[in-house]
Amino acid sequence: MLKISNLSLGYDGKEIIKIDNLNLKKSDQILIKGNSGCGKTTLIHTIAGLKKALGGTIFIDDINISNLSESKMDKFRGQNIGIIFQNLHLVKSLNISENLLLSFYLNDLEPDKKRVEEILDALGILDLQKKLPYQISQGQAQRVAIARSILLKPKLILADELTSSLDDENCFAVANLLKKIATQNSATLIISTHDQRLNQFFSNQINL
Amino acid sequence: MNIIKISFSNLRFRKLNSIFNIIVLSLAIALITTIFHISSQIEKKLNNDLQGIDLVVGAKGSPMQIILSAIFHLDVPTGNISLDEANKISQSSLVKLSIPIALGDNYKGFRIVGTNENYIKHYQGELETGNFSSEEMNVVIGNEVAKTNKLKVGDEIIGSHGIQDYDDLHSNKPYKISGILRKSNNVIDKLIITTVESVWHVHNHDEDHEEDSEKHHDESKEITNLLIIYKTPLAAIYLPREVNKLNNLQSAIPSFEMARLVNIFGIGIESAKAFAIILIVIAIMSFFVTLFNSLNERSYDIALMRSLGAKKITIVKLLLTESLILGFLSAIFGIILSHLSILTIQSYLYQNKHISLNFSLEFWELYIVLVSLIVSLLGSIIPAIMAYKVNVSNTLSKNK
Repeated sequence: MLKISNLSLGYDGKEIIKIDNLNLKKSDQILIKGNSGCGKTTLIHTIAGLKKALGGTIFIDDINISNLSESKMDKFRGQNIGIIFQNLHLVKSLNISENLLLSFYLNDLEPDKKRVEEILDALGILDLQKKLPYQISQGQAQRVAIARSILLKPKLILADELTSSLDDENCFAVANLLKKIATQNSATLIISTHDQRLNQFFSNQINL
Repeated sequence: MNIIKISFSNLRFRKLNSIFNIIVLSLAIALITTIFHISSQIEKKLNNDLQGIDLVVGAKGSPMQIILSAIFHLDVPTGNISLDEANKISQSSLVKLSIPIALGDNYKGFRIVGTNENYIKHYQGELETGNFSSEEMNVVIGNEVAKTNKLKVGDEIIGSHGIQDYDDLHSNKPYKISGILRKSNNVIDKLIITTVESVWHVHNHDEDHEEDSEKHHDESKEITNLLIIYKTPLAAIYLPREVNKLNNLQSAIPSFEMARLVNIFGIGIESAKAFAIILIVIAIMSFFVTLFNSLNERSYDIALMRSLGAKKITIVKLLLTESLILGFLSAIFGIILSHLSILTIQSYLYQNKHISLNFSLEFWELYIVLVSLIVSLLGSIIPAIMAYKVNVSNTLSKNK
């Protein structure tokens, strides 16, 4: 499902990470570990096609995303990759339901309100759908971000520093939830983190 | 969920910025619309009232005053002219039509005009009720006179001396209304029209005791003005000169005086236009500054939407749609504001000057909407280009 070869990442031509080979199959779940500033976010952004690699190739479902034009990559990302960012970005002017429906609009799909309600319900946050992002807690925002990442049934879910700002209880709950959701959707899950508490949830781990 | 809904949500979320932009642009739109309406209405009104009159003869004085008094009935006459002299001019081979005007009285601010049947014909006056009567002391009244004073055929009215004074009444010589004219949208709407003889009759206080010969009586008769329509274009060269040669007469050329008048008005209108252009430039800057300032805050939203699959052009479309919505709302509010101002001006002019202007929603106001949309787009092009260039990865990596 994901095949990375000779991937070189860095800034201004200076390499900071080199990944020779990484192969993940459908429904695989992996933890990418490393200290702050080691390039985890850069790797997640590069796999998501938000950032160009210095060299190497990334194949997702046999498509070399390194060769895709910017607009084709935007479309591919929207339809195949769900991303949960470290800072849980939600569009401030839209309520929770609209934040989720936005994904349909941006990918030229018919808005599916029923699907939004199902996912919010499954994550226990259906009652938040009319609230604006500033009206919900960090933990609730975390769930909304997860809901959004799986909304369009992506083949690949990328989560960047998902739990670093959560207490133990929420950290474990979110980790379990994400694992469960990824399994239910048969999606490949990649989590980048420096949070040691997640080690126990993932047998498949790599260090940067 | 569509682009309009997302744009509205964004605009609502940044209420203060949106309202500020709308206020500035709608003020500019209101000013422009009002200026266009008023200048076009004044021009239309002047042309309607002129009705192709080529020359006005009056007593020596200001030609502008003669035009304002004899055609528009807005100023006092320069004096009277001898009927004999007026008749001599009327008989000239250069004159196609001449219409005498005898002024002197008013009824509650509406002028009583002594003239002949050609005056009403020339202004395409048609009866709504009653009939035209050439009997002395009978009047036909304009539509606005009837409506304002709730007058009907058969009613008697008493004129006051002068053109605005309501006190000095000719109580013993009432006029009888024989007809009411349909609305003509020209000067006759606000006039009370009678025969020249009626005006003489009201002002001839010693009539009952005077037993002079008829000839002497005719020589002393006066009218206020003579309206002339030329038979040939050559008349424009000779007739005014001939009139001015006579000791007591002054010619006034309406087209020339109107050009002067429009020129005088024009200074005010040009100043207002310049002010409107300044407001438009401020509106463009206001759109630019508010969008530019909000871009830093919105760059996260923009980057997020890109990460969710939005194409760059979708982001640009979203920003431009927001501006277009603001531009459209500004145009609507501006046009409403303009029409409210115009209604106020209209009501003031009617109540104080008996000037009736007919404003309505005009087709060209669609172009004003277009101007408003262009202004809003101009102000948002640079911020939209900046949004197009947002570095998604860097923006999302920032700790916010």
